[in-house]
Amino acid sequence: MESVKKKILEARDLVKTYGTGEGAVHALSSVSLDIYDGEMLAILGSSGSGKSTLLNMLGGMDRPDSGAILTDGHDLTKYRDRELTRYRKKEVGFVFQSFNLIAELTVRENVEMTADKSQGKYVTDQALAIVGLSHKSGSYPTQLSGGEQQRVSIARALAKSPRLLLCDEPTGALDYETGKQILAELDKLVRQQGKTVVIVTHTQEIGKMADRVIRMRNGKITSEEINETRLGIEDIEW
Amino acid sequence: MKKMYFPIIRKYWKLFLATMLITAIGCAFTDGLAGSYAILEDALISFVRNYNYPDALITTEVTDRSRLSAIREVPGVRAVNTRLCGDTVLQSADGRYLSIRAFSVNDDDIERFRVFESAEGNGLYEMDVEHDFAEGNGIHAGDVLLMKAADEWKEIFVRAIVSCPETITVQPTNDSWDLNADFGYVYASVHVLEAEYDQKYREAKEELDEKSEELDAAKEDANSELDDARHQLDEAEETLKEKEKLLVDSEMEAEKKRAELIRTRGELIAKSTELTNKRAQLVSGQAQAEAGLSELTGKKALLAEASNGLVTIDTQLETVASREEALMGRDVQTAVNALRQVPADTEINEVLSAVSRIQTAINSAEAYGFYYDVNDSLRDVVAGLNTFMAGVRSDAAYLVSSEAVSVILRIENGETGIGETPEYANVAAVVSRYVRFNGPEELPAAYAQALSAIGNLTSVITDAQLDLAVAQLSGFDMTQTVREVSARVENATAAAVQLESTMGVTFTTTGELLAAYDSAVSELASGRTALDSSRSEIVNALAAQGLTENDIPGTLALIDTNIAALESTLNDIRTGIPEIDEGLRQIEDGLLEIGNGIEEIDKQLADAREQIEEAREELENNETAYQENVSDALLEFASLDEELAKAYEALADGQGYGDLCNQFLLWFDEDADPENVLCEVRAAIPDVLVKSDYTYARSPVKKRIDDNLEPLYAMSVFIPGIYFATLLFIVFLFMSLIVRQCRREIGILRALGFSVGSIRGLFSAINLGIMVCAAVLGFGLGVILAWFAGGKYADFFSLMEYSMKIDWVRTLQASALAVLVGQVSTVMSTAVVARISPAEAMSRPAPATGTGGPAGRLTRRLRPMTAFSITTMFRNPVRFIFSAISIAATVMLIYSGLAFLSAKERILTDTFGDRIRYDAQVFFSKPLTEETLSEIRALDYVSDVQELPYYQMDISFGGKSEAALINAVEPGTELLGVYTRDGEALSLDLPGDGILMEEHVAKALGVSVGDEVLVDGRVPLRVTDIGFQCVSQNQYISMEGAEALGDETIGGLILRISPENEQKLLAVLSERDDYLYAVFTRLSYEGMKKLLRSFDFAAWLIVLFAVGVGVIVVLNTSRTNILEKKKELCVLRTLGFQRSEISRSWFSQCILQFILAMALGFPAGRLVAEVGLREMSGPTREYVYTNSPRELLITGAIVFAYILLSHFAAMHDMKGWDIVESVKEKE
Repeated sequence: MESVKKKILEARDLVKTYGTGEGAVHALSSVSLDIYDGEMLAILGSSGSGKSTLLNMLGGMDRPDSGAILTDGHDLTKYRDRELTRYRKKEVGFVFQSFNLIAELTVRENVEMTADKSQGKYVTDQALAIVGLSHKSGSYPTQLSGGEQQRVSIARALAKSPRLLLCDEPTGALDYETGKQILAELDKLVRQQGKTVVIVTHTQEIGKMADRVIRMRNGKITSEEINETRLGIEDIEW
Repeated sequence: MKKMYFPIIRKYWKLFLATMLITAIGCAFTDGLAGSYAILEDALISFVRNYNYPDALITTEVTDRSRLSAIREVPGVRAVNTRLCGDTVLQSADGRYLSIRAFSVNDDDIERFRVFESAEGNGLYEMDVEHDFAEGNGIHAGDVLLMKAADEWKEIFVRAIVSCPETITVQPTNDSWDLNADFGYVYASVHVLEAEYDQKYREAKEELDEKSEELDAAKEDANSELDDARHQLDEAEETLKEKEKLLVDSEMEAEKKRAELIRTRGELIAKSTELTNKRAQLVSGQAQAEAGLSELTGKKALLAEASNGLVTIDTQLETVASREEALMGRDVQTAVNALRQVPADTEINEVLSAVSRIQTAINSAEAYGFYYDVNDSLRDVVAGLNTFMAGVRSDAAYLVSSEAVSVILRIENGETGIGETPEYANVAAVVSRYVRFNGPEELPAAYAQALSAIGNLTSVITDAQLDLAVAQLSGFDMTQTVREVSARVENATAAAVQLESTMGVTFTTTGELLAAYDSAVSELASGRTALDSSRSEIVNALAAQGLTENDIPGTLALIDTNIAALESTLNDIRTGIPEIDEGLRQIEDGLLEIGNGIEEIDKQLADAREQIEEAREELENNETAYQENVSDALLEFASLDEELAKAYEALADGQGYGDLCNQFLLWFDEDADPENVLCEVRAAIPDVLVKSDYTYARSPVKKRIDDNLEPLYAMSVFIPGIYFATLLFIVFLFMSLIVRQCRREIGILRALGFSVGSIRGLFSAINLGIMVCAAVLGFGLGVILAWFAGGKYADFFSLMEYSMKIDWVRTLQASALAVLVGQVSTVMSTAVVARISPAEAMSRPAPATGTGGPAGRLTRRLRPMTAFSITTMFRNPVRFIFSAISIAATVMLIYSGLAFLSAKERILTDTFGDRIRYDAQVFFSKPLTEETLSEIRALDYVSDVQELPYYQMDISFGGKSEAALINAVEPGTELLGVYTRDGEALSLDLPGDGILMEEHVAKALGVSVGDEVLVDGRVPLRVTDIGFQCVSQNQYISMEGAEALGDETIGGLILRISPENEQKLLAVLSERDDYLYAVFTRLSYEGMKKLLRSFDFAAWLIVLFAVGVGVIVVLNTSRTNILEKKKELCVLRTLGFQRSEISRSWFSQCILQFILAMALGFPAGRLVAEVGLREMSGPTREYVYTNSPRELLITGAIVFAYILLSHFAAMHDMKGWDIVESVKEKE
């Protein structure tokens, strides 16, 4: 894979510690990984393994105590707040476990607000079409089911055409069937749109549909494997 | 449930703290101002009580004090203290002149004074000086000053600086003296003033003695004049009686003569009538004769004219016949016909033109060998020419052919033997038809000439010309035509010659000749017709008279005979009429003479009677005047005797000193009614002139205290009450918002099975704790504020002693209200939230549905972030409206506070703005004389001096009466401006019976424009206008009106003077005996500002409170808003929006809140200001709301600054937010 695909992000020796002294919690301990263009990467681990912390750093939402995160030759850790914000706006799309939609805005407005203003309508329509929610564009988030809200969240992430889609427990707040639908949407984005998707989850089965799987425990990467026998979404259960 | 207290408090501790602070500040403000007012009120009451202020005070003119002893005998009077008082001048240590009112005091008075500082006496006259006056003019105990008493400057020692209730002047009163910072009270020993009293008594006594002597001399002179008058009257009566006797004799003689003249006049009138009738007959005959003569003369003229006309017509008819014969003869007709046969010019010209063109062609062709037969017709000639030109064109074509050109070139090239060739022969043959040449060597030149000749021919003889000529000649037989034309022309020429001969004129063309002929024939025919017609008319006219042509000569002779007879008769008549006229004129003269004679007799008799009547009347008048003079003299002398006696009596009583008075301080029994006792006191001294009297309830002191306390009460109790209510409303909103924020927690508690009652109890308990803390904290702060503000008030009133007071009623009211409002807001909000199902409460509130509407349409055009901000605002309107109302309350507080400050400025502006045009008012004890005015006008540093006499009199209307100051003004008094409250200038050109009244006085009496008031109980005046004066309450009347009021005036004048010259003027005035005091506008302005200190201070407290509490309200509102949206804003940060973008979008919401808050807060603030100012206004002072944009702009700027500050503070807080944690928060 390395020989075929281009690296779009490199994390090197990331360290993050909360607190000091004996009560210090080592969220990340010298974590390094690469993310390639067009792959689906699953980061698996139990609660407190540091996977969400890692995802936040990759998305420019948090800074490591030490280490580097390189993209296009630039180190995210050296970015000022303004540059990090720009990075989040241009390069990264987030899908949260709790959706984080703006309740006062309609589905369309939620998606449209992240789109480039000059192409706002077109891009919004496209993004909603991809997630199959064009017919719900005038609804408010509270009028949607959890799965629909998560799909709006994905559409919102897609509307700005990010290079990297970071999903933090995207199925965590959803039932099994709905979770599978969301994963199918994400799989479609990778396979048909060529997007790069990083999914953080504690559900081991989801790793089976990823191109690559990284396992974490106690703030460290314990394994990294390329999924040679990747399963389709219809073949996995949890 | 108990475990929930701490988490909720910890979560919203900043909001709770802010709410508590706002409540505490409100309580402190309410408690503090109410306490400060209580301190002041208590201090003032204590001050008055401790001073032992009298129950009543009477001011009389100086009089024999023994006459006043009756006062002490009046039932109810417990004690009496007597003192002299008067206005005079003091010189300060630095030489400045100060107007003062001096009182003689005794030990009782001095004991009541509050002494600020004192010094040991040094044997000089001593005085105590009022504290504020001393402070303002740098006077201290121990100073030795000069005071004018008994027209002398006396050294006087300042023993003490004191204060007493009489001197409280913090609030301006109606008395303009109090506005003058240089006017003060001093208290001197009685000797100082009594010295002046003695001096004045001596002067007055001498004056009266002089008057008495003058009166005796006047009596003697008057008796002598009356005796002379009696003697003259008796002589005049004797003379009159003799004249009356002569008149009776004359009347009898005149009557006889008059009768004779009347008889002669009758005779003359009869003669005149006779002559007049005869003249009328003659005049009638003359008119008839003149009419007949005129008729005959006209008839004769008519016949002569007819005869002459017939002769003339016949002669003219003969001439016409002769002319007709000449023109209509056979020969002439033949010639005319011949002339009419002359051919038309166009035909001839056409033929000649064709011929000319043919001839030109022929001439050109002939030059090259064209010949024609002269017998040929022109058409044949044209055909020949066409043939000829065809040949020419053929030659031309050949000559330009290659063969011809080749031959020419070969010759020019010098080729030999060319002449032998057939081509040469051809060319030579053609060229030779046009040009002669000799051999081949000349051929090229000839060739060129031949070509030129052909060109000329072609240009002259064109086919078109020839075709045109043929066309023109077509239809003409040339030969015949020419021949006919020639014959006709020949005949015509002969005929013309003949006609010219006949008519005697020469013409250039036959046309003109024929026209002239036709005209002559026509004229002859019309002439004949006209002459025949005229003749017929004349013959018909004669026939109408019954005449023929032949009767004319005989008739003319008969008319001549009749005319001669009539002329003879007329001559006789013309001679008779003038003779009759002469007779009549003589009769008229006679009658006129008789009339004149009678009239003359009548006139002489009338004149004589009139003279006697006049003499009689004059005698009677003189008699009456004499009697009146005697009577007047007796009365006047009696009056003068009486006045003199009274003056002596008054002098004995000490009256007559306008600038000195007696004051009686009266203390009554405790159970006595002060007003009744005062009436009794006045009744006990009926002969004494009482200048003023009042009980404590009506005293200036009480009035001043009330005037001060009334607005201060409003500003300390009423307005803080409104402000506190506003704050509680804000607290209500905040508490409601906090409960709304706890919606999720309430949902969880309900899901866990807690009842609504227990949840309500939870929040009520928290709220109760906060409000109790706020009340306690507010009470503590209020005590500090009360002590501080109460101390300032006491200082303004020169109250040295005051003690802490707490207005427990207000304090408890404020605390209870705060707790109550907190509980109500909690209970109501909890009830609203608890109605929502637990599941729904635990989720975020669902916004309004729908994508359309104004918000949707509006936000589509905005930037995404701005759209986000505004959309969330419109879809969650409760929070937005709550916030806007909170900020609006802040706007209201600040704006109304500023409006109170502005009201003070308005008072100063109204009082001392452009309306006051003079710099100083000077008062004198007597009416001003011209001499005094001249002296003051002569001062070079004084300008625009105008007299302004003052009357202190009662004005009555509708059963009410008010003591008032009345000024008499000259029309057009320029220095004085009187205006309505709206600033409209009122005219001072008052009618003689008019009065311009001051608003307050008019209001007290209930009068309006047009009403008639009674001045001094005797002079009715009509109200022309009602003016507004902020400080003084003067009425204005005309000088004519002043005459009706009499001379009891205080002299006054107004003038312009610069500040540096004020002391110069005072130095001059202080040397005058009649000078009372001067009021300078500049000093009055300073005094007024000083007097408004307490109001100013209270207004500033209100403004500071509003501004201080406003910042907390706005900060808290902003914080509440932004915290409620914390998660959404963090999500936006996660999505890559910069803080600056979020800040801008959020600020757009703040701007809308600001606009709405201003729109709501401004009218509310204005309402509060108007109501508050109305509450503060009293009978003396009216605080007016000024609608000035300045206050609104300042309010807007302050609130906007708060919004900016709170916005940036909130955005600064955002920096510290943990985005990751915030977005993880569960819905």
